[in-house]
Amino acid sequence: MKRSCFDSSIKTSCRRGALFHYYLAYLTLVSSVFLMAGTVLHTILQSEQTDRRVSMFLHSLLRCERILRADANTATPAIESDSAMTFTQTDGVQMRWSADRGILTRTEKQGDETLKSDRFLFPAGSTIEIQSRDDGATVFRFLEPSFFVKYSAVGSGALNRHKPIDEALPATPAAAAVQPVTEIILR
Amino acid sequence: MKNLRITKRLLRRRGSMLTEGIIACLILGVAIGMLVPGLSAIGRQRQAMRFDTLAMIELNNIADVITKTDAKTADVKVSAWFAGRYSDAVFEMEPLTADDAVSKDLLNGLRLTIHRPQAEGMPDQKVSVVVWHTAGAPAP
Repeated sequence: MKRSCFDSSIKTSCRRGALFHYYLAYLTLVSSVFLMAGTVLHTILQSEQTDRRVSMFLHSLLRCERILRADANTATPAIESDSAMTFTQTDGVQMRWSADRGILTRTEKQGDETLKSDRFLFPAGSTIEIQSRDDGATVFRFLEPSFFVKYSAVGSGALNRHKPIDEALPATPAAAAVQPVTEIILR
Repeated sequence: MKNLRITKRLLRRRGSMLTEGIIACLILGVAIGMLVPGLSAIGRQRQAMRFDTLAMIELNNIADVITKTDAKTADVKVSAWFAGRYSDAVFEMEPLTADDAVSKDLLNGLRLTIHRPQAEGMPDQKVSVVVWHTAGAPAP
């Protein structure tokens, strides 16, 4: 006699087997749904963060470029170090530009009196260098954060201001890509 | 008979649970399929915006060379940092024509253009600035 699952003698065990298979399939589906949803959320959040970092960099770069060229057109430059320089106008007003990690600060002074102060924030991990070239040009070099290095603060460079240098600006591994450079060249 | 009916109902219900799961997966798959091209479009837009800004900065660097130094316009080229970043970008320099200028006084102007041809899903991009020599300077 053929026995079916609906026989009362084996009904219970058949039902358990079916439940187990369905349970497994359901678990697989749910885990794949969660995996997909998690990946998508992670990608969206990462993209948003990258977007914020890039727009912060470009916005600060454009703003400081405009003011730097205006200063260079009206004053005489003098480089103090690779992180500071001063433009001096004929009326004695001095515009001092100083770079500290991800922050570029412009201070306008006449004598001891501070007339104006402005800050340009760059993303964490950015480096700013001020150099003088042989042809007389003054170069502001902006090194963007490396893609391969995880910095201690993802926000602006200001968050890294009081941290030890090796924590705020970990060295980029030699094997990784070179940090992208942007140069504002003033004549 | 009663037992058979109950078991069939149970089986039908379990089957529908699996079908619901598959449908949910399909819908999510379609949603992700629509989201991925959107995300990559955002990335391309970001790259385009970055190129626009950096090209404008480089054009201002070149404009400084033309207006403030004695360099011949034929010798002017893009800086090493820009060439390193965008090796496919082409720099062009052309004098303004009568059609471009608002008045004849502006005819000694130069149009500087950085052109990046369409590649890898990125659109064709062009950034230009117009430079005029200071008063008394010879026309290019």
